[in-house]
Amino acid sequence: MTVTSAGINYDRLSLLYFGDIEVWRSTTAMPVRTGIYYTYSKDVTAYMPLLRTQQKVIMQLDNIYDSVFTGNFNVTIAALYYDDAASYQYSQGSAGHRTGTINPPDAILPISSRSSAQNQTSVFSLPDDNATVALTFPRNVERAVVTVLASGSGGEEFWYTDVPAPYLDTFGADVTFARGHGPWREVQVLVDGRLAGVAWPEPVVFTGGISTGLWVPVVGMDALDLPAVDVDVSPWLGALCDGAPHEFALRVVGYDAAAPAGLGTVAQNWYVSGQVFLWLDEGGNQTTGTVSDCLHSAPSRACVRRVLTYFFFADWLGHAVGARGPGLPAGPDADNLCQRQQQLAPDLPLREPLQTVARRRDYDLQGLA
Amino acid sequence: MITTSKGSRNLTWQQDLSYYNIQNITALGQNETLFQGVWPTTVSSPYYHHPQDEATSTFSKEHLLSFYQAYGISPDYTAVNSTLYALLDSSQSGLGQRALMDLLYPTTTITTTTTNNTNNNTTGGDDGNALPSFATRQNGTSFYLWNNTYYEDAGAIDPARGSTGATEQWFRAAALRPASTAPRAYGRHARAVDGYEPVLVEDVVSSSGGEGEMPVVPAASLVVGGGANVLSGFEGTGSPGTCGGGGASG
Repeated sequence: MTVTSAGINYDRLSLLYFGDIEVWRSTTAMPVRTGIYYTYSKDVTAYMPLLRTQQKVIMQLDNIYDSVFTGNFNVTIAALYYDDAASYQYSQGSAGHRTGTINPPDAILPISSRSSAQNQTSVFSLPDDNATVALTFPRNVERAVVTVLASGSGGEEFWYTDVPAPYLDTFGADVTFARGHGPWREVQVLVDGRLAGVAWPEPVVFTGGISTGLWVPVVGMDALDLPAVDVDVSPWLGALCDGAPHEFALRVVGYDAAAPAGLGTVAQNWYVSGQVFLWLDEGGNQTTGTVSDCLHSAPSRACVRRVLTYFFFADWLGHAVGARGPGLPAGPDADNLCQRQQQLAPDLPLREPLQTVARRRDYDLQGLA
Repeated sequence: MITTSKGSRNLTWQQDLSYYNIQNITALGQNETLFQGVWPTTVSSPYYHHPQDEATSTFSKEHLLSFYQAYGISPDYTAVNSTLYALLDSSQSGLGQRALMDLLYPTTTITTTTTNNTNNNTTGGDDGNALPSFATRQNGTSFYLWNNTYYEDAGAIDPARGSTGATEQWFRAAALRPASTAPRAYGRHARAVDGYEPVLVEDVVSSSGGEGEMPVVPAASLVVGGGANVLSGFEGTGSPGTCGGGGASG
């Protein structure tokens, strides 16, 4: 992707879709009057099933272009194909498995609004949309991975600076960063209503974030290629390969002390879309399986298990407090955070918590067997 | 337990996530110091080459963001610019690779990337002994002028004359080449002077076996802020706590 622009404008979000599947999410650098130029290369080998067939390419880059915002964005996207036959092998080894060093999926299914027929990008906007689709897997899937692209825009661009609801009234109505959902977000992937995996987004500072002056010409990490997150749903294949449609849903939640389990909504404009990458069992026509009881099995069993421990600190009056409260599970995670804090900021005292949240969930998937 | 034409195998998907955040906000939100860390770890099953293989692959990351920003709002835009002072230190590091990449680029032999959340790699630096791995860090300072009258309430965009600053980045990545036992590494160190006419004053690319010396990504540091927003200036008594021990699952 090569972009040029000259003039004045904000940083803009861009979405690139092949049909109903999002391939690349990026933000632009902010132009200057004398002009900017940049180019970025992205490895899209994982999308090989799409790259071998004709695709409708849809790119969305919303912008304001008028007498004030004079920076228009000229975008060129080129696909480079490399003939690397030595690495790309479908041959079966002695054990009947693929032996190539590049092992692309056989199919990709969209978890999106499927709007390409209307020549629109197929992104969901949460919390307003219902990011739920029904997918029917081939019966002989041997591996499946869900990837999700999720980013906050508008009032959620600076979600990582948000404050919990109890402190909202401290700030005036003009303060846009304070929405009352806390500085933590969780992206959830659900299969048939059950939580399959989560991601805790890492803050991506766009080129207009924190201070515009920081990002010319070096841009913030991941600003040009927003990272996707993975949830391996292969342990679920025993249920997913039954030939029936199954529901895949995406959610974004924030912290809300008053909500059940501390999970609440977000303000606006969390753009999400996902896809399922499928690898097929070439020698078989039906994948079967059972799911172990996660609560009582050894960690190596096929199960989804999540242990979350997080600490929240907030202060709005110029007094910083720390939280590492009682009742939190001890262990490597808690100890590691404590040690990391002392590595980074040995002068920060550990005090009684202002607010602490610790959650642990073990998911029993026997219901899907 | 999943059964295909190749036999039966246990497949694993586990996640452990940690999060840490501290904010110090004053002046009704115009000044803020923030430190936030996210530590996600996933454990999955690599693409198998042999049935009954129950090897696991771990991908662990550390993402740190630390910044201080202080706005100075001009009472008269026609006379004096508004200002924004910012300090930033941000870093990422990772050991292993995402589940999708693990399946897309399997090695010819089963590998188990072992990581440990308590290891010293989570410093923003990198461990050249664990593959694949990456580490990057950005450190920047900016004093930025802005004035709504320049462009009719368009906001603080386009560096104004008089703005100053500098941003520096280190990057290093290493991975095992396919069908090879020899690791390859790539590094880059860039430094820029920001402002109305930004200049890239340093940009050194290096690779193992090639030109240049591989950069060492320095460990992240905490932006402690300034004035009332200093993170280390606490009211009342408090002493550094001690880190306890114990086991954990999950």
